[in-house]
Amino acid sequence: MDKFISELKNGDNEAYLRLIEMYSRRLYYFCLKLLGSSADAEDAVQTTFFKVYNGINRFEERSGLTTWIYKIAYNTCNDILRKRKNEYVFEKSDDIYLTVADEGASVEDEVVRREREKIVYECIYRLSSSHRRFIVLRDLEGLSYAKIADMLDLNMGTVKSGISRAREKLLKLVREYER
Amino acid sequence: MNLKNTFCEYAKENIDEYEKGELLRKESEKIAKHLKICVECRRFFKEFGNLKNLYPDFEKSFSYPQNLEEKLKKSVKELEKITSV
Repeated sequence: MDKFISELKNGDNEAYLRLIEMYSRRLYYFCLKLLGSSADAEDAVQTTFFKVYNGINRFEERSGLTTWIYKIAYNTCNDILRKRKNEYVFEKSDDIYLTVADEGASVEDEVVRREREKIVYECIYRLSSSHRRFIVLRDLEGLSYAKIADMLDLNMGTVKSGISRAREKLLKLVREYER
Repeated sequence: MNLKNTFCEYAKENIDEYEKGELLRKESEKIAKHLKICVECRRFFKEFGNLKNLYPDFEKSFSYPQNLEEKLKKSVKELEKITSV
């Protein structure tokens, strides 16, 4: 990795092309989860790579390269969210694929489960972006408290309580929706 | 300060570690004991357990834009041209 970072810092464009291959897909889904819009996610990924290209010499290697890039992507998404007039944006999908169907589940059970999955998906995007970020980072991306704290510039205690509150909000919304 | 509410917060904030068995035994036992008496926390633990299984799988639900990687590579090549002038 050190050699790779040196190549990037020396402006080796072959290294950049490899970086794009390594990260573009992961970053696209990361931004999509935060933003709920594929067009905005594409913009965010392009802006992120532009910032990485221009800022790699400021990367001090105090965190890993992945964490540094994700932090740039997160901040880029945040800028997009701040500019939005309508906070509640989410991509429509004809089919939200989630859990694997239980073996032996009836067609009726399966339909009910799919409906509940769609409700949960929509409720994630009915959360405020400040709550949604915790759901995305912890529950959808599976990041550690330390990485989330680093990304959001918060202390661990604030991160843990933020995650807990966001989950409570999400559960409340799901309950209201299902009523 | 309401001690019960404080412990409710503690329990909810540590649900991941509790469920993965990552807490010290003493802490884990405190939460288990609390769940027996606190209806609200019991409900939260049960509902959140169900909710986690209903989270979307974005990679399966949304396709990855095929031309995105090409666009990104093209912009690097353009930047290379600009910076080499």
